[in-house]
Amino acid sequence: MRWVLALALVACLAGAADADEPEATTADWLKALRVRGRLAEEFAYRLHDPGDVSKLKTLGWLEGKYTFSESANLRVATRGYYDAVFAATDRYPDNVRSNQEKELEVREAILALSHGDFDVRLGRQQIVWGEALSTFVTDVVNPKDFREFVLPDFTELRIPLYALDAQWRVAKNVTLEGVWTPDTAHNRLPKKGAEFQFQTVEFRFGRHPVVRLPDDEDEFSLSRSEGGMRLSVLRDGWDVSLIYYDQADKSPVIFQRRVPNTPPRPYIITLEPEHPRLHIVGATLAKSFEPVVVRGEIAVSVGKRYETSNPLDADGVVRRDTIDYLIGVDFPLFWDIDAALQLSQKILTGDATNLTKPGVAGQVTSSLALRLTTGFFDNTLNPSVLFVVGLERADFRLSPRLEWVLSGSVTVAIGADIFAGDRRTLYGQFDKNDRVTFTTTWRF
Amino acid sequence: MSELPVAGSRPSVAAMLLGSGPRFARDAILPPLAFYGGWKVFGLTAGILAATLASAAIWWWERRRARTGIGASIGLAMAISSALAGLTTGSAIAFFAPGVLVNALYGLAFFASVLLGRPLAGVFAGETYPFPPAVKASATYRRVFSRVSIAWGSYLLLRSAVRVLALMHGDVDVIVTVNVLTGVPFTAGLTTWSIWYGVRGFRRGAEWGWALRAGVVALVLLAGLAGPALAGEADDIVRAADNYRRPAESFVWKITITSQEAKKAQSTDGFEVFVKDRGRSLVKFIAPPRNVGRSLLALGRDLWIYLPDAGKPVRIPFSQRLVGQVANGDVARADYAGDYDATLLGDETVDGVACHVLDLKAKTKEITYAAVKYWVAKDGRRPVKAEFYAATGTLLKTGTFEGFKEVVPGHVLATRLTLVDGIRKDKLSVLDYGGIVVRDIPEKYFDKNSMKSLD
Repeated sequence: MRWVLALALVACLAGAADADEPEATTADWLKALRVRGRLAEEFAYRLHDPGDVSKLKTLGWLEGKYTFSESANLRVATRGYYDAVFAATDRYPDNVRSNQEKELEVREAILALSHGDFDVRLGRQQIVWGEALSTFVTDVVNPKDFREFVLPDFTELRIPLYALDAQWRVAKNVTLEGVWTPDTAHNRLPKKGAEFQFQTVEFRFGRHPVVRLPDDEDEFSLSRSEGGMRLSVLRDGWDVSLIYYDQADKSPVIFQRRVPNTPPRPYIITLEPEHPRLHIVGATLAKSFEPVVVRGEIAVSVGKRYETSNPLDADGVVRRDTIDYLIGVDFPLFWDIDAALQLSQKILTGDATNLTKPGVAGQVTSSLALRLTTGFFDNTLNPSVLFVVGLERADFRLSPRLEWVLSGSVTVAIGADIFAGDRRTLYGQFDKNDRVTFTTTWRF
Repeated sequence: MSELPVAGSRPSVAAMLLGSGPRFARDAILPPLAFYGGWKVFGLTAGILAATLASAAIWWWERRRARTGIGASIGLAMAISSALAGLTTGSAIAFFAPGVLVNALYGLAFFASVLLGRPLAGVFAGETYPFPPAVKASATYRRVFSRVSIAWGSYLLLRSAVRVLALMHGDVDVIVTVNVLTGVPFTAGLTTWSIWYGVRGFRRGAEWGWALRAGVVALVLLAGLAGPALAGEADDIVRAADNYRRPAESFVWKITITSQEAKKAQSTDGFEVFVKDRGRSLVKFIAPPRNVGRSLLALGRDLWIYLPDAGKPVRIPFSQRLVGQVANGDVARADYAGDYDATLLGDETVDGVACHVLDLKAKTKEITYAAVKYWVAKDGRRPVKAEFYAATGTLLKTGTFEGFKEVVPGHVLATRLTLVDGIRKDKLSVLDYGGIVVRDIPEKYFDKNSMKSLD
């Protein structure tokens, strides 16, 4: 199935590439080049003991786009950062320092071609599906970088993939999109000892020796390539899309294996991270009832597996197909405040006993998010606040932020990220990681 | 003619409730709670000062919003008299007593206004919806608002009786509790009923009901004042005026918006706008650098914004503010003939130019403005001036069309639109149109799934 999809997409690419190319002068070539970027200094101070600087990151983005013609362009973007907090403090172990101190990465390298009703994007890119902000329900294509939890912008969180993305405008306001990628990169998780290290499941195996195997699957594999389709339709203001995506679970699932040992020694337990195949079927919806906007997303993950703490389970893993959905409404409040309220739920199709972990409260895990934003002085002073609460366990995240637009190029923002709740909950696990932040950004 | 209440369109229950409900609740609940907080923490004087300050702040806010603030003004008068009573006697009971008395007088005034044929409820309703004189003089108006006034008068008298009982009890906790409990829930309920009953009364009334059912209430309400209303001719005028605001069926132009506010440095934003057919446009943000990469896509009455930080298009309303006094719809749409039903109200001279005056009503609520009062020059049918109104009847902004030039051979365009805030005249935005290129634009520009690629 994936190979058929890949061939179809390559055929689209071949068709698109024969676009007419007008002759260009040297001056036109220079005009066709656009360069822009930004430089940011991000500072965070951890409020709880030990109160100390937790981020001192200098981050730069540089992007160039070359437009060959109306139907062909090439875009390359790189991101680099250095976090001086690892030099300034000795609170983090070496494995965290080597993992998070510095990075230079190609974030985009896309050749975009179009011909009539066909568009093709080939290269390293982010492919974003879904209607709602600040959520991943149907944003399933790219893996995510969770080394700073979900606090950075989502374009920073998504890990770009080398992929082929083709779109065909079947009819007016009807678009069919196909995606194929042999790049099977996984989510990046924080190392042990990192500022936002996740709570992990405690395995208890008594006297049995335990061997932890690495998560060493190749990131490129034709046989394990991933792909899917999206059909988007706009009718009478109703913006609906249907999606299907076939992928490996981006987060590892730890399988337990019992390996015989020399008698009378007890058998050995191996813990092996695997990425089971998922078939994700979903839909999104958005509609404006001026001035209110309603959104909804649903994704059913068929083949989703969870680690269980049930000692009687043979491999320590159970299958629970999972439904994730959200409904949200954006509406204006008094004094020009934009409000967005979102309810989301994760529903496991089956018993959730022994499966509880930070992101799973039980068979049903619910959360409610409220975002308020407004602007003063012609939007040069922009306060906002995001409040997300887990409804079953009352853990929450509160993130107020005040952005000051100093000029057309420079912005300054102060903010805070406050977490509360039980240590075993999604936000409560960072109960001691409350922080204040200060960010300056220069765009050019 | 400027006093014509063109705005507002027809009064809906939801719009009037949203417009007045929260203000009613605020006026009723804030002062007693401010008193209670100040009294509990610091004592009687602090409580009195807090309540007076809360009432003064509400009154100031209402005046700043250019509303008459009748409710808030009465609240302030009551607060000042209560403060004088409380401070001179040093008694919390004395502080509350004038309020109870005024409450009772207020109830009696409602009854008296009915007897005099000038129902007080109509005066309050006028704060929310600008009824034309012809409506105020009608039997339906008197009947509907007389009944509403009687209901309010009865409630206020009963409330005064209950509050007297609480005063006699002598406990400040009980007085404040009774004050709040007999206030907000009942005023909210009675406000809801009043608006529902008022709208229903007009809809069912023999005088105005047919017009409301037909959805052309404003036209009828103004029938006695406006001249002959010829819808066909009005549509032709609006369509002709639209041609001064778009050079072709498919074109690209650049819009520079300069926003100014008194005592503040002006800001400039740049946009490149791709337009095809009527109602399809892609707006790329090209300045300042902090906004570069964003884009807006309008397909008919549906609008999306692409934010580089989110990485995907997100659905948003047309009426959301884009920058300065400019709404998304001001930049993304230029099709008044397609968006509004037009009615010719009459003639008027604007800055020496003889104009048709038109009343435009939004065809659906997805349109940026609920109503527009539109001045179009008789000679050449070019747009001259427009007033833009919210559904509640509030004047949002005034626009002036200028800089008429032949920027495309054979086609004269308005190259400047100046938008001035409806309340604060020192806040304005100037939209300059330039860099116009007439060409066919590929379909991918009008596909939300391509917004990221076009960045």
